[in-house]
Amino acid sequence: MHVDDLISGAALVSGAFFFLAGTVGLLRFPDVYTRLHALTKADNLGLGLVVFGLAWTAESWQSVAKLFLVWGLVMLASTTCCHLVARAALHAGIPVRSAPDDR
Amino acid sequence: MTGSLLWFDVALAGTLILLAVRVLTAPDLFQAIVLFIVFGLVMTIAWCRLGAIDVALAEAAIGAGLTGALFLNALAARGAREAGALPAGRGTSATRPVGAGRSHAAAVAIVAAGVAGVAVLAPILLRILQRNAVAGPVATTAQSPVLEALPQSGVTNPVTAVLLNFRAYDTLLEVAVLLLAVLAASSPRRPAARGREAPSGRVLGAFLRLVIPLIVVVAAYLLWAGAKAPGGAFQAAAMLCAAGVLLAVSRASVPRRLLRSWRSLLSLGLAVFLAVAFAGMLYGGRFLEIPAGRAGLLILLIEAALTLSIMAILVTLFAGGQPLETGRLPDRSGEHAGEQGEPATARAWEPRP
Repeated sequence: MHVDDLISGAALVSGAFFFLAGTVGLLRFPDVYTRLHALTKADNLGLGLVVFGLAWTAESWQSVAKLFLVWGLVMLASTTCCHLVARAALHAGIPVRSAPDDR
Repeated sequence: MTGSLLWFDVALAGTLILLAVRVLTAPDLFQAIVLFIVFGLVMTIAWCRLGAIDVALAEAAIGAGLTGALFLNALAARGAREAGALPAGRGTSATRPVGAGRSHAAAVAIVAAGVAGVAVLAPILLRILQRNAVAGPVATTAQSPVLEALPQSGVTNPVTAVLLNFRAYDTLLEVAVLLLAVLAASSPRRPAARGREAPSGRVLGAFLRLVIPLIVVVAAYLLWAGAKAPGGAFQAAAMLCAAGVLLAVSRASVPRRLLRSWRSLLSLGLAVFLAVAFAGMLYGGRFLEIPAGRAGLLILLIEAALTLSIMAILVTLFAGGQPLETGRLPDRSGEHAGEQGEPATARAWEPRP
């Protein structure tokens, strides 16, 4: 296998791993704020790795530019959504936990 | 389906079916809506696998995005009506699906319908698979008369050629149906049922300032590229509608000039389409016969008008069917603070005068 394919594949697989981690965080974290934390951070990093993996084997620099533009826009949109959701949750009175339930 | 991607396709189809079942059986309407949006996005991937990129674009923007937003709007309105306050999240009465108690009969009915559907479709599917195995998947339709007549259509994208030239009558009727739908949706004048929502802050405003010009540019590109590549009027309109929905949701104020001409925007697409259709008759052709020489230009003209029109139609449908007028978005105007008991907040986004 070509070295480029290996690098690309490794980046894609680790990106998928970060998406999986974000999903596990969504399912396991106790309240909305921590879930937002897991989703936005892990998913954005996962997407960045996926974009990197795709860009490594892209055909032209325009494709690379488009891929990174997609990543930038997704980061922008997800941070804004995270802010809005957290703000709405705070406004609705969902309490922020300061300590875990079980030790 | 090539061999190496067969497992991916099988997994994709299985995911679609699982998601569909889950959407129908979700105990919470909010969950069902979110799963429906996910279903739309997975469907987009399915369309890409089938080689239908235009449909994939439309599915992602309208099927997953706009329809999901419409559903969430309806859910919020229902919750606000029932609870009289902020629509709560999970498991409250506002989000329980109607008829959730009668699950056994519904489940039996769904399974029976599924079995009947599979029994009917299975022989058809087998024949399609046999034919594809012989002739190759997409090639059978691509070598059709569409490709042969493509040079005369004025565009090089076969989908656009079919939509706006060869079968333009269908598209004309589709646009008329959309216009009728928005007229029907706007007929009952009722106050928009809105619960109390958190005031939007500066982050949303900054985000909109960055993103809305970008959306307009991408929409213009999709409109222009529709002649040669996947794109076209519906996709561009879906993007602009996304911008309109963002503005409506953030309770931004919109320039009065735009709102005053909203009604003419709604009918602009159909009007231009009809004008081009009748104009062909003036030059000795039949109704909707587009002269081959100017076909590209006329198609672009029709698509531009359609883009604006469909954008207006979709945004009106999202905003509760009320035609936007007199400088006021239907959920609230930007100027009045405390209209629903909220403290005065800075406007999220203000256009330059």
